Amino acid sequence: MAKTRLRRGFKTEAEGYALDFRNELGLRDNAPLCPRRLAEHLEIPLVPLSSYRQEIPGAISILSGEEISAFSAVTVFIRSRRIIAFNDFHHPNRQASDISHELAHAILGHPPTPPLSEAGCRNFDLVLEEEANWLGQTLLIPRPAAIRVARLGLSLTDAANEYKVSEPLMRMRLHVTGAYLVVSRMQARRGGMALPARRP
Amino acid sequence: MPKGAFDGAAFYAALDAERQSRKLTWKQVAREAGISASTLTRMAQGKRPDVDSLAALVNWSGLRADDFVSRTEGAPEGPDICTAISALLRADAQLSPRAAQAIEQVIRATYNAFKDTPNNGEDTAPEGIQN
Repeated sequence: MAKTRLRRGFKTEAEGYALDFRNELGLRDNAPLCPRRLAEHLEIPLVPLSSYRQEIPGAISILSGEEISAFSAVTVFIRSRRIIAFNDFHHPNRQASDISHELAHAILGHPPTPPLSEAGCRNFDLVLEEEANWLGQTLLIPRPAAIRVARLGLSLTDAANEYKVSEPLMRMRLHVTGAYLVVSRMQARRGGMALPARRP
Repeated sequence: MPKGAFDGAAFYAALDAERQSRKLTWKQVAREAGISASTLTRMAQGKRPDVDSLAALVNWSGLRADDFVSRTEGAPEGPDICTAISALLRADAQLSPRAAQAIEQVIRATYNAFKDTPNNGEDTAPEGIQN
């Protein structure tokens, strides 16, 4: 399958959102951002799957057990209003990523679609999903945060724990932002023969 | 909708139409209007903007705020059943029938939990649902 290209300027826009929301929440540009706190700021309700245990026990048993990998999160629309239901049986760092992804859809104003076709298969808009993927991950680890991780020489594990994300996500963001290269160049400008930033 | 109330949903829809006609993203709208991005996201959630943001959006869009003030007592807005099953779903692309059925139940439960909650900036989730 061909890789979906993001529209021109989208990545810059995503970085702008990540910094704008940190600013609104009184956080530094490179600080961790709790997606639950962002959801509260945007007044988007979050509903954990476990809260439906009594109402739909069979469905919860399936989605917390044998089919846990089938469901991450869903945004339900009531006219333009969104409510995010998420699978809180996943690891907390996975939940953060899932919530951030759904918040990204909301921030970008992506329209709703019928979630399942008549055959029970997912309706999947590649462009919308790719935009939400990128923005969701950027919200959690914007470029200043990746550069901070590289500058401090944090291990991948420590960095992922501090920012409450998975190690693969942290690794990916360090890579796509070129954080280590940026830090190496900064150090070279300052000190001539400085050591390159330590990669974990 | 009560008489004299500002119809935020209609205003947001009109803004969206204007945005699309100008081929802009919501971020560009926020920047051009001089308001925060989160204001627009909250407006989509049914929250009314503050006076300064409303003025900025009216100025940007050319819309008249007065056009969105209801003159008569309107009929209560009923839930849109079709909207209930409109959602953005982040899930495995290949869903088993059991998983698909379970997820539909989650969507309907979420819809039913929130369809009657007020949409005027003072939401309270139904008992048993965390917000």
